[in-house]
Amino acid sequence: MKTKFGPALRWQLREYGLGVFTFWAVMLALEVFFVAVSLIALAHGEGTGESNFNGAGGIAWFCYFVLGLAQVRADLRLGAQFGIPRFTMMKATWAAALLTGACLALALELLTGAGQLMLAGREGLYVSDLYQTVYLGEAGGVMGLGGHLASAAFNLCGMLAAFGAGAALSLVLWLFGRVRWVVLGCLALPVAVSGLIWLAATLGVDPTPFFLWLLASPLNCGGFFLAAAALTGLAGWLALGRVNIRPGVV
Amino acid sequence: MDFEGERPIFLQIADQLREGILCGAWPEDGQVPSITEYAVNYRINPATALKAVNLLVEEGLLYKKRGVGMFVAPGARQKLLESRRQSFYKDYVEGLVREARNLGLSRQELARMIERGFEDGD
Amino acid sequence: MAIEFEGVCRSFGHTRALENISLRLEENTIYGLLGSNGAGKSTLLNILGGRLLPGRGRVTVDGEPAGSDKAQARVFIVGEANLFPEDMKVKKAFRAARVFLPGFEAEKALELAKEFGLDTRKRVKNLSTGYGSIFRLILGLCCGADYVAFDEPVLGLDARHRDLFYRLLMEGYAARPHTIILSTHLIAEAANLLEEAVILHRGHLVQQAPTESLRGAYCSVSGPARLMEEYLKDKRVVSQSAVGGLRTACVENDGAPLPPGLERSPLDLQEYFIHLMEEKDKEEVG
Repeated sequence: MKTKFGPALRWQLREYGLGVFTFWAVMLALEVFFVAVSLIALAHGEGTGESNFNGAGGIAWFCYFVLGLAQVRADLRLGAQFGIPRFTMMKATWAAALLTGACLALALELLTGAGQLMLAGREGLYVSDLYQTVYLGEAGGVMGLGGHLASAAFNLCGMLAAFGAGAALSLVLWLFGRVRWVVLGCLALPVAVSGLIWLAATLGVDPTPFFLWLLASPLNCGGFFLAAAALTGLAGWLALGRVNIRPGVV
Repeated sequence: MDFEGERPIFLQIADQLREGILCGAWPEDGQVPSITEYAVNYRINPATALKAVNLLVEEGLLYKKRGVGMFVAPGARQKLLESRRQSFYKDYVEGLVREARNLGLSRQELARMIERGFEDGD
Repeated sequence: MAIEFEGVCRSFGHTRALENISLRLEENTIYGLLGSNGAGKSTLLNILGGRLLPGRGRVTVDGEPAGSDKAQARVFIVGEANLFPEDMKVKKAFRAARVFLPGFEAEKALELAKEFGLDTRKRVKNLSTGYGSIFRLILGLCCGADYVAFDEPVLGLDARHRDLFYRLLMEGYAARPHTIILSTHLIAEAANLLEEAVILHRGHLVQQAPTESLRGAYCSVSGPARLMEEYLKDKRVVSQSAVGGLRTACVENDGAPLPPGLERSPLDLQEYFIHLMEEKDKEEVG
C-alpha cells in the first residue's frame, strides 16, 4: 500500500491545492473589493454604513461539496488508469481533502482577521464569518487568536461534512449508473429533507430542540459535522467496493 | 529481404552477411551490423537476427567482442571462397554442362563461349 | 520470473469469455496474442492488469497475484479503455504518468509525441481514433514496466505511423529487455516481431508456439479431389475446402516432393491463423 499511496497523495494535494488556492484568491479579491469600496464610500460620506462581508466559510463548505461530487470520480478513474487500487486512491483523496481543507480554513481566517483589523471601530461595517456570528454573537468585533482557531476548526468540520456528502452522493450515483438514476439521485437530497420535515410534522416531533442544540455550542455543531463526515465517508467507502469504474461522463 | 517468402528470415540475413563478407563490404576484423540494428531496421525480433549471427559464428565467419559487437573473423573471406569454390562445380558447372548437352553444343563451342565471357567481362 | 495463468475461467452473464486458460509468459520475450473478435484477448489482458477478477483459477505476475500492488508495479496494459478525466490534456496525462508510474520516461514521451505529430496541448477526450491510439501507445512505450501489453495498439493509424510504432517498439525492446504482449488483428505486419504466438479461439487456448516453428511450417496443398484424397490419407489436416473438383488443404509442410498434379505454397503466420480459425469454427458447429 505504501508504494502507491505516496504518489497518489502527492498528485491529489497538487490538484486539490490548486483548486483551493484559486477559491481563496477569489475570496481575497472579493474581500479587498468590499473593504476598499466601503472605506471609500465612508470617506465620501456616502452609504448608510451598514454592510458586511460574511460567510466565506459557508461558501467554502459548498466548494468542498462540489469537490466531493465532481473530483472524486475523476480521481478514481485516473487511479484505475494507472493501476492504483481504488481504496488507496480514496484514502489519498480524503487525506488531501483534510490537509487542503485545514490550509484553506486557516487562510480564510487570515482574510477575516485582516478585514476586521482594517474596519475596526466602524459601526455597521464588518467582516465576519459563521462561527463568530452564530456562537460569539458579536459580529463585527475583532476576534482574538483563539476565536480564529476555533472558527477555522469549525469551518474545517463543515468542509469535511460537505466533502463526505458530495463524495458519497457521487459514488452512490455511480453505483446506479444510468441517467435516470442520476436524476433521481440529485432529487434525493431535497426530497429526503422535505420528507423528514413532513415526517416530523406528522409525528408531532418538533425538530426545534435539535437545531437549538446545534446552535448552543460550536462543539455540538462541529461534532455533528464530524459525525456526518464519518457517516458519509463510510457510505462512500461501502459504495466504492461495488462500483464499476467505467470511462464516460457518468 | 523477402519477408513473405518461404525462406526463413534468419537464413536470408545469414546469406546477406556471407555475401557482404565475400565481396569485401564487411572487411576482416571490421564490425558487422548489430542485432539491434537488424531488429530495428527490418522490424524483426532480435532473436531472429541473433540466430543468423550465431550461425555464422559457428561457421567461423564471425566472432564476438564483449560489450562492443560482432566482427568478421580473420580468414573469413578465404573460408567463404573455399566453400563456394567447392560448391561451384555442383551449383553451376553440372547444370551448365547438362544444358549444353541438351542443346547439342560441343566441348569446344562451350569453351569458346566461356572465353568470350571472360573477355566481355574485362 | 513470469506471468502464469492457471485454469482461468471468466464469464459475463451467459457468455463464457475465457475457458480454462493455462499459460506461461516468460520475461524478456515478445508474444503475439492472436484471436478473432470475441476470442477473449481483451478479457485476458484486463484480468492480467487487475481490472477484472478471474471467475475461477488464478493469475500471478512473478509470483504475486494479478491486481496486487506488487503485480501492478510490474505490469502495464495499453487498452482501448480511456479513463482519463474529461478535460485532462495530454501534457498533464504524461505528468500524471510520471507521478504514478515509477519507471516512466517523461522526456521520451514528449519526444515521441513530437515524432508522431501529437499535439500535447489537446485534451485526451478530444483526440481522434488514430491519435488516441498514438497517445496510449506512447504511454506503453515509455512506461518502463517489466510486462507491457498492447491491446490493438495501431487502431486507426496510417501505414507510416504503424511502421514507426513497430520500429520504436523494437528500439525500446533492444534498449531495455522486457516482455511485450502484442494483441493485434494485423498479424501479417507484426509476425516478424513476435517470438511466440498465443492463439485464442472462443475463450480457449488453441495454440502457443514459437512463430519460427509456425512460419512456413504449414503449407497449402491443392489439386484434383481424387489425388488430394490419396495424398491426405496419412497427413494431419489443419483445414480443407473444396471448390468444384479442386480441393485445397492446409497441412504440415514436410518439404517432401509432391505427387505430380498437386501444387504447394507456403503459408505465413496470418494465413495459417486464418485456416486454423476456420477449422476451429467448423469443429464448434459440427
